[in-house]
Amino acid sequence: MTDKLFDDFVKSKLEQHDSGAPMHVWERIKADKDRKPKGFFLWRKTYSLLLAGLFISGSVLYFSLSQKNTSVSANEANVSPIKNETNQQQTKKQPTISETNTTASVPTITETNNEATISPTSVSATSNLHQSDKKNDAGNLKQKIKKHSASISQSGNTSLASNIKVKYHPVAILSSSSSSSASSSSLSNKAVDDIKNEQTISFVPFTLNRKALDAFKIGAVAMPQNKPSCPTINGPRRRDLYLETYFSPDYNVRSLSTSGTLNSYVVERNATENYRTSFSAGIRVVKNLGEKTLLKGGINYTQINERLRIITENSKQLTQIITIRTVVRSPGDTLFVRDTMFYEQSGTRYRTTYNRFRFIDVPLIFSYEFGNPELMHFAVNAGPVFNIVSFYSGEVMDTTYRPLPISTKSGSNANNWRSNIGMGVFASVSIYKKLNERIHLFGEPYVRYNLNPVTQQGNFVKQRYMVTGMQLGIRYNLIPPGQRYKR
Amino acid sequence: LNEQQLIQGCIRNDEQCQRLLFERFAGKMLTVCLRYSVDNMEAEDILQESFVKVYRNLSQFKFEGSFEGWVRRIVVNTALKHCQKKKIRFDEIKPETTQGGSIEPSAYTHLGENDLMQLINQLPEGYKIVFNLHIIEGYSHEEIAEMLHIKDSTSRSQLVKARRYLQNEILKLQKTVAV
Repeated sequence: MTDKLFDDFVKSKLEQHDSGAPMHVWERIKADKDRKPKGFFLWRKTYSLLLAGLFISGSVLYFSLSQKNTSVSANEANVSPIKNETNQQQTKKQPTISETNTTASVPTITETNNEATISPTSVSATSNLHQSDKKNDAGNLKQKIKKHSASISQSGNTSLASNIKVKYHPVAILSSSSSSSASSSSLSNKAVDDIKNEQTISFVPFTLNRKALDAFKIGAVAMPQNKPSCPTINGPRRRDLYLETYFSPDYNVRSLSTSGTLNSYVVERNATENYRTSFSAGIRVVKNLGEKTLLKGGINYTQINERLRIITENSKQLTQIITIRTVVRSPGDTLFVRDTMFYEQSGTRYRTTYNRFRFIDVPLIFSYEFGNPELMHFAVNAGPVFNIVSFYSGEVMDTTYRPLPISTKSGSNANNWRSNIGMGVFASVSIYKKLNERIHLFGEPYVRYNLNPVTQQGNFVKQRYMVTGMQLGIRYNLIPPGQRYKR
Repeated sequence: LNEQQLIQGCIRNDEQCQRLLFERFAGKMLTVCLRYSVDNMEAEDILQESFVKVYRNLSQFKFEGSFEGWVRRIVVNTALKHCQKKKIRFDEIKPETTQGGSIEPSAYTHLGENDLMQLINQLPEGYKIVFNLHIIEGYSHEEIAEMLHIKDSTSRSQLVKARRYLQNEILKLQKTVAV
């Protein structure tokens, strides 16, 4: 019961107790109430401008690259059917050679754009396979070519015959192996059709037509505009080009050390400065180097926010108030009275400064990818990060525990910081999730170690940051799905 | 101006009304802030933040309950946020200071508001908050537990210990005065 009475007593005494309205607080409220609440991180014009700049440069890059890709793909579109057939024929070629052990190879002269081509492999392959029939084959070959030349000449196409250029071509094998008894003209017609879509592998000097050989000199014949490129030995090559954009909430590990015996200074700095938040954002272009290796380069913005709170006990503040009164004693007799008053306030002073450290860097990262790109794949990344510019706002304490604004001017005080912190080392692991053919989402926990401190060389204090974070972003493939692989 | 006119004036962003509202409630609300803060400066910071919230959210007031209660709730919530930033520690008071039975009303009726405020401010942070919330603001232990993310039982035990501590301090004060 007495507890209840005690509680009621306290409540009655304090619930409606009035400590008096502090009118100086009203002045602060008046200034604060109409201020718009801060947004997430876009409360500053600079951030908005930076993001807008990144967006515009990204868009320009994307459009310029996509236009280049369109022109390339237009050329490749003409070539692609030929490539496909070449592949089919190449796949057929090997079994055909093995089957033609007993058949005579009949190299065929074919016409393509006023050129006659003969497959080199037909001769070499069959010559390897039929050592004993080599001479007969060569004789047959000569006969067939002569016959065909004659037929071309008979048909009145003399100019064509005189300009014949001789090439070896794998199609000859296909023709000869399918029917060794078929007429050379029908073979050649078929081969002509085939060769129109065929790709020349190489030239071998052929002794049948000296004129044709003389005519065939590098530069003597204009190469066709849409001449298909040679297929590579290792098959199609990956040629991806990505644009990655990301945002990362970060955490910073700060190390503060002094060269001298100023441990108490470090302790005081650590006690008064608190890490608050930090983040980074950026955009980068990713180009594959090999099938699984990539190179990433771009621009990265990092911001570290700290709070400096200095508590000064027994602080004294002297305020001077000058009051001017105008006393009009009679018309034309005006008196100005100035009263000067001082009052001293003593108490504990809290001084809070919000420090912001900003860094703009260019990362150059090498990446190795593995996993299933269709579902989820991973990458290990590492590389150097080059600082372009660093700028700071806020204050730090000097050795006399006075707050000084951070400056990039040269000097050896605690507040003299670098405008460029140089190189850092970056390492990360990425996880990619495919959303569609061109877009991936990724998460990338990373760590970045700055090799240099933010404080200037020769400064008695060395302040260094190691940044860790989780980059979350989108990867967009600038190469359309059908054109990702190049022969 | 009555309360409703004052509120409507504040919603219209009439600075005169806003000032009047501040003058009317700031004294009482400063007492609330002082009970939760360490010093005057922190209390003023809380008061400032609370009134800014009041002006910004005044349009949400439905004229259904006591306006003073609504403002007080905002102030208490803001004060609690400040306390949570500092990470409240529910420290244990030494056993000898919490022992002893209830005291007679004659022992404390002579105490003034400022004495009581001083005594409450001597309490450890956790005790002080629970004591203020339950005894003065009238929140139940369940509500306090939810607000402070603690167990009901913790809130109860903190209150009992806070009350004992205060009563012991009052007795000590009484003895000192008698001497």
